[in-house]
Amino acid sequence: MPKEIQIKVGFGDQFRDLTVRIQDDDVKPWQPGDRLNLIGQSTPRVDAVAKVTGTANYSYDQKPKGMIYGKILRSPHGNADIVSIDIDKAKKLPGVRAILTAPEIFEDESARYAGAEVAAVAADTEMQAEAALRAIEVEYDIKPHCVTVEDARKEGAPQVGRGEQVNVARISPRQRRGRRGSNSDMDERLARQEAAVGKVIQDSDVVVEGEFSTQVQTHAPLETHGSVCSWEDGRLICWASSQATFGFRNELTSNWGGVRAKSCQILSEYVGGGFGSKFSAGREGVLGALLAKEAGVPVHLMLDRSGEQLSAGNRPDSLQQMKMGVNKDGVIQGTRIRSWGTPGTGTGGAGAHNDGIYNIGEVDKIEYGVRTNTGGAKAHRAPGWPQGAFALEQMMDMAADEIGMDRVEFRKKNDEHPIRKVEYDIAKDRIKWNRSLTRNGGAEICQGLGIASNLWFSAGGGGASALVRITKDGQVEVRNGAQDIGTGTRTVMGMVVAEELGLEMNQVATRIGNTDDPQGPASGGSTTIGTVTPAARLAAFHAKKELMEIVADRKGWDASELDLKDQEVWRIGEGSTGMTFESACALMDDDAIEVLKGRPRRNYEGFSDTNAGVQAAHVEVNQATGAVKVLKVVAVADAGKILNPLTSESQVRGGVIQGVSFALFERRIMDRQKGRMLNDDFENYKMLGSMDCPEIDVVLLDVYNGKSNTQVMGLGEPPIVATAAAVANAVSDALGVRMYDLPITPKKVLEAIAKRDAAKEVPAQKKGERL
Amino acid sequence: MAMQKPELLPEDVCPCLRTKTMLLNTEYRRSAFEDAFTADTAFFHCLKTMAYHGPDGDDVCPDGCRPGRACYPQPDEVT
Repeated sequence: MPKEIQIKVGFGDQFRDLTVRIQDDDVKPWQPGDRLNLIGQSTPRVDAVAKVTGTANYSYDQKPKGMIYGKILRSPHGNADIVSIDIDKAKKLPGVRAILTAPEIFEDESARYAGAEVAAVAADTEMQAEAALRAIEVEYDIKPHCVTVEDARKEGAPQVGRGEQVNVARISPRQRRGRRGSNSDMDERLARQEAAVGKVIQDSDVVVEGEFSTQVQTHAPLETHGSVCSWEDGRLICWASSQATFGFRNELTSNWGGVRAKSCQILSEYVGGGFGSKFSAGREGVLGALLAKEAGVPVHLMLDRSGEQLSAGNRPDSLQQMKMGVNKDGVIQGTRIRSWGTPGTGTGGAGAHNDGIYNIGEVDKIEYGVRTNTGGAKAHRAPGWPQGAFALEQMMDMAADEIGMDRVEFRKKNDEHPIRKVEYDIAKDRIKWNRSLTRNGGAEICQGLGIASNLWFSAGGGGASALVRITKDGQVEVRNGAQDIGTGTRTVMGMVVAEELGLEMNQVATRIGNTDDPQGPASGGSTTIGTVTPAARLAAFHAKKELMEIVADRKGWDASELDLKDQEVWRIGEGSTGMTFESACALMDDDAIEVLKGRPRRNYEGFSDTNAGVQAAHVEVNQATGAVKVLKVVAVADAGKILNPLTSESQVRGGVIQGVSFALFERRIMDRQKGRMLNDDFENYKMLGSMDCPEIDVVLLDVYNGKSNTQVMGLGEPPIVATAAAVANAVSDALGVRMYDLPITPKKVLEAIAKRDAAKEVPAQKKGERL
Repeated sequence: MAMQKPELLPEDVCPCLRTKTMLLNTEYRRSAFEDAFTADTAFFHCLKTMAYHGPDGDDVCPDGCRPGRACYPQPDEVT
């Protein structure tokens, strides 16, 4: 039965009382004014030393006894079908233990992009495995290819897919199966919507429009995809570089390897980044497990960098056409959006979130997926958001300029979020929004400021459990099988348990990344901390309750009056009893107290269902070379209650760094003639380096949102949403010319400057027309 | 060994269909997953091909991976 409690929710000077119904055994969320020892304090990661000294063992580092090496053969052709594969010569080479072919394993004879898996080999050494790959003879039926959205959309373009598959398909809105109405009804509805929104825009005081594009960005984690697999007495043990230990196990045990979940253990103690690309075991995960089974010894199959760049995922590109009607009072009346993007050989998933964040009036939006012969996209840190925000935020600046309103004030006018309204002012203050700069291309080195916003919506969810164990000799550990992909899960879970038990951080051991431990979530949607910490706190609370009952029984005290603080047993309202935590534990009859608790399944009513965020960028542009230098990014973020400011700040910095990299550098380059990716390595796939990194000023707002007992909202993804948009706006501010395409390379800057200067000679430029 | 069908999948959707949302322990698991059917940023892959197309070469999607499709598993293949 749920119980009703009174809590305070809010932040800063905006608090209010709220009645919430919580699970009957749940703990009340921490309240403003509560005396907390660890929560809210910057605490270094418990694995920081292991990571920086190289003693942390990643999947890549595993070397079980007898381990051999797996390698994958990939198609060199832009589009082909596999006619035959001859492995006879390869099988006879020294050291070769097992060979598998993709058509045999995956029931798939197509190789629809250059990089598609064709076969896999396991051999005693990496060189022997590579030699075997070279000895495999493959006959291909080579087909015409399209590797760009532009090419695939052309009339008469080669077919990317097979059968009846067309190159371009509408992906949103899409008729949902089982709902009333047909696709023709949908077409009619869309036509009516287009006419209605078109009229709203036409009747507005001002109309702005633009066409924006963003590039394909690969995930590029430092640790590539893959696993080390070992079969021991029918049990599969797999050290996987995964952001979903239980999902990885589900895939392997649902169809592959002939094992049930209880006979399969996935270990991901350390993960070298995932960014959304490591939810699935992938073909490499399946091949690793099957090669190990066939070879009869452990197999190390981690992708090389080329394989990673070609096949392991990417953020889809986008082409976004937007038209916005705005009244002179600054209120947006309506917006028309059409977008295209390629997720690789499919059509789904390439949407762009360019209609979130602000109230943009009546919306007419249609999105299309464009099939190309390229490696498949995957969820990439805030899928669809950075590319959508880029287009939307350029439009916001263009509209503000057109009606002569300050760009921040224009955003405020069209934004109802209670937290972001405060964040705008913080960002303005920290970036010195009203400062005097050499902008609008007024000098060879000019500077500019840009602003953009983000939005997120996850408070975690049910389905995860945590086990807390307190031993008679005073040892404490907390276990959950989820992984830590950089979120600081290992650290923060320990902090929550230590806080609840009144202990220091070093008195709690945290065990994660092991599917033999209680169920944990995939690290997706920025839900991990918000999912596991309420379970950990609940388990710790009940373990403490059991311990206090033992103490009360032995001492003749009332258990309901006891609590743990400062490593001692306290009487609530009175102070310490003088009994240490260790002395209390020594009173146990049994060896240990163990409490397993699931996360309370429902999130409670709270202050806000979404978290916000504002970023401001300060850039410098060299008009002679076209080089852009991001000098500073102010990132104002909120994510419910900030449990550990240090790891939270780290999340924000990571998002900003990846966002600046997206704004200026990263892009997949395809050879349109040969159909291959040209920069499938870290030498030619440019990413932001330390010398490119701006000063990052992180401001965290602590929000008591009341939505769970730890009140955490997601923070892994939102900080990347606004960065590229803010940088692009700042570049446009510096140059006095709009930037429509990412990444903002020197070449594009020089081209924009040339167009700007040419346009200066045209006296009556049309309103909203692209320069 | 027979294929295991995740509890979360609607009854007539192919047990080989997988997507990220199935792995997230969001509080509205079933409805969140069903929302992914029409989400513009959702990717779906097939457990048999481990790709965005099924063994028949056509796209993996909740609307398409239904009984009647050539590669849809037979009842005795699924537990």
